[in-house]
Amino acid sequence: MKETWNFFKVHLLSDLRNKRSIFWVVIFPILLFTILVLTFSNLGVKGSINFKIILINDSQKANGPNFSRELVNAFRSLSFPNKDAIFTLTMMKKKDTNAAFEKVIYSEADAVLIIPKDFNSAIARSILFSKLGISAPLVPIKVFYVPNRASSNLAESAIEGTIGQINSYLTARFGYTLKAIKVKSKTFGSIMESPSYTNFVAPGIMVIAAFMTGLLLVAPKIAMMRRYAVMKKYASTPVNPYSFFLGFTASRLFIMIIQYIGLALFSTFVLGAVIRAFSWQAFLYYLFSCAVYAAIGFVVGFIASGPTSVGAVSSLINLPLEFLAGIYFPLYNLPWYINIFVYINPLWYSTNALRQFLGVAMSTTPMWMNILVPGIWLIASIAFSSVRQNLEKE
Amino acid sequence: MKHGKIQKHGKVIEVKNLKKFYGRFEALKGINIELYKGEIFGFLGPNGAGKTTTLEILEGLRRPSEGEMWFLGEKIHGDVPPKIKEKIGVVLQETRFLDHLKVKEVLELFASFFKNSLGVKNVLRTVKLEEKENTYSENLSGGQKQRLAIAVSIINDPEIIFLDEPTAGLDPQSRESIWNLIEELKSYGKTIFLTTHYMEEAQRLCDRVAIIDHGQIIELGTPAELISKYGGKSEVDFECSPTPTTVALNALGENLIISGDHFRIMTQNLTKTLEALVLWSKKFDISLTNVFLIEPNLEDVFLKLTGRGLRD
Ligand SMILES: Nc1ncnc2c1ncn2[C@@H]1O[C@H](COP(=O)(O)OP(=O)(O)OP(=O)(O)O)[C@@H](O)[C@H]1O
Ligand SMILES: [Mg+2]
Repeated sequence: MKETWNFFKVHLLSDLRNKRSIFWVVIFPILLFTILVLTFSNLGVKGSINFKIILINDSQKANGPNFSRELVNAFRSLSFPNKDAIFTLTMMKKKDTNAAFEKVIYSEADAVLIIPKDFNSAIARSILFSKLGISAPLVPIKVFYVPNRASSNLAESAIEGTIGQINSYLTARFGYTLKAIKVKSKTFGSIMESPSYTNFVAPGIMVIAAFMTGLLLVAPKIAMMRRYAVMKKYASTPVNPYSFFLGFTASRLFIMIIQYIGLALFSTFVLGAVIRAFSWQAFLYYLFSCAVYAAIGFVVGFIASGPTSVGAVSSLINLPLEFLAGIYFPLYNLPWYINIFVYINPLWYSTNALRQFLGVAMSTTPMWMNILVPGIWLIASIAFSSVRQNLEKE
Repeated sequence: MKHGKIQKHGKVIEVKNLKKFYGRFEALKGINIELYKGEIFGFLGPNGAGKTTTLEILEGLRRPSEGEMWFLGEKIHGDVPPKIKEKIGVVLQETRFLDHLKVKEVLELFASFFKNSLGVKNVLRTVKLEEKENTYSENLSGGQKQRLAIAVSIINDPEIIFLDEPTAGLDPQSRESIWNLIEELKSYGKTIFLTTHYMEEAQRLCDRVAIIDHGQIIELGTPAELISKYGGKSEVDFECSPTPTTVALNALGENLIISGDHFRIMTQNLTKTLEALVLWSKKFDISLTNVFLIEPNLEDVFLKLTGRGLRD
């Protein structure tokens, strides 16, 4: 116990005195966070009256006129690059609906418009009914938007206005009208009080901070201790090797917890993020992630042939993992061979889970996977490291 | 030179038929050694001879493939137990400590691993690093780093100290101070097992030396024994003025080798030869200049035994 505490103390001390580790572990995440927020949070509100909308045409062909195409064309004619466009239109597939929602949530788009499956047949039916003099139910199209974000709210009004115009055209020609249903879905309203890029990116920054600590304060130290026989020196004394691993790992976790608290305070009080920073679920999940990244740090430390090659191995895994984790932007429409990396990327799951626990957004992956996949990484890393450790003793 | 007679009481370490295979490569081919209390025992051998391998097996850092060992009369089964590790001190061939840790913090950490501790202050005084107690270990000079490594190895007041090439890569002055330190440790009654490939070091420090090559001990004894057995003749080199006459030269005997102005005498008994030479110079009124004495050393022993130099 005393030895574990001593290991904890010296390893913490040796890092706190190292200006370089302080930079990467404390200053860098805050810097990255600030730069990201300053750069990207204003993208959605440029002050123009051009709204970014996403149109998902799920309708099926029916007998008679293709009304859904008419509708799409109507929006197209009002969109960029046409003159006086009020919309920038993105067409997306039904299966990407969630990605479309995410774009709206994270201010990359202002609203989503969905033309439902039975749209064409419903209109054909309405026309028939109105010809027969029977009052037909209004045919719905769905508009998803974020009520308390100005640009989204305005986009919704613009869409409603556009549908109004389309209706008067349809009435003149066929004698019936469309109904625009405004949906403030669960995903949009309740989870995010004021959705912003700051909120979106905060959980990912915490994950990156823990990951950096694993790569920079675990891996090089392990490699250094192997290269310069520090562990061997410990092994020549009666000290229990587990007390070293325990004390060392605990000191890393301690640093990661400080990072969490620091980033939570910084994002809340400086950047004005609205996150449930002190939810115990978020904290427990974060601790779990820290264990995963510390273990990955051990693996890198054991893979690298020496302290100098740690940097190379680190950046080799750092770049793809960080960018394929949906930390900076939501991920969608990636080709399958990239998606493979996303699906095995522990950072992706950590970020997703933490977003949910911090009350930023629902996790796009099921919670059990958020535990399972990083859990596999954890176990595999521990297994690999202990095998390597035993092999080196020969 | 301290080749004092070792009293062969108290066997501290005994090793029998120690073998070590790395894969199919046989790094140790049956090592037999005994270390007695209070002696400095040396392993002298070239790179790759198996010095570190032997030491690290004794330190419990590598597992032997075959063989038996006893520490303080107790047979070791399997790993070297913590009870024994309490009583040994280790300086590895390459030592570095955590960066950004002060000298005294390094020592405090290691002191906490043992039941017994001499105390950081005492140990720092012994290795003469008192003034450096607050210096980060990575900022010490090479010689100071090595003294810190020795300080760490004696913090538990060990009975046996293993030193793997304690002066490798150090300048002559630092080497001298490490040698003094090792002699001081011996004076406290410690048993010391050191490896080296510097013959001066073995000759200066060791009570007994084992010459090891290719995983085998090829000879073992006190440096004096080895030298007289294998070292061959000593040599006196000199110049004369004025140039001696043929009569004078003949008086020096048949062991004289003349090359130009230089004269060389090969001898088994250096003292006797020197006495004779001085008498000769007086008799013929010749003054001797540039006199050099060349004594055989362990390097010659090694050369004789293996046909190679120690650092080839
Ligand atoms: N872990 C290992 N795996 C394979 N071979 C090894 C290993 N360690 C040592 N050897 C080999 O065993 C032999 C003895 O090595 P050892 O380190 O004991 O030599 P040494 O006498 O200490 O040499 P040096 O003076 O260079 O330190 C060498 O040929 C070396 O290559
Ligand atoms: Mg060696």
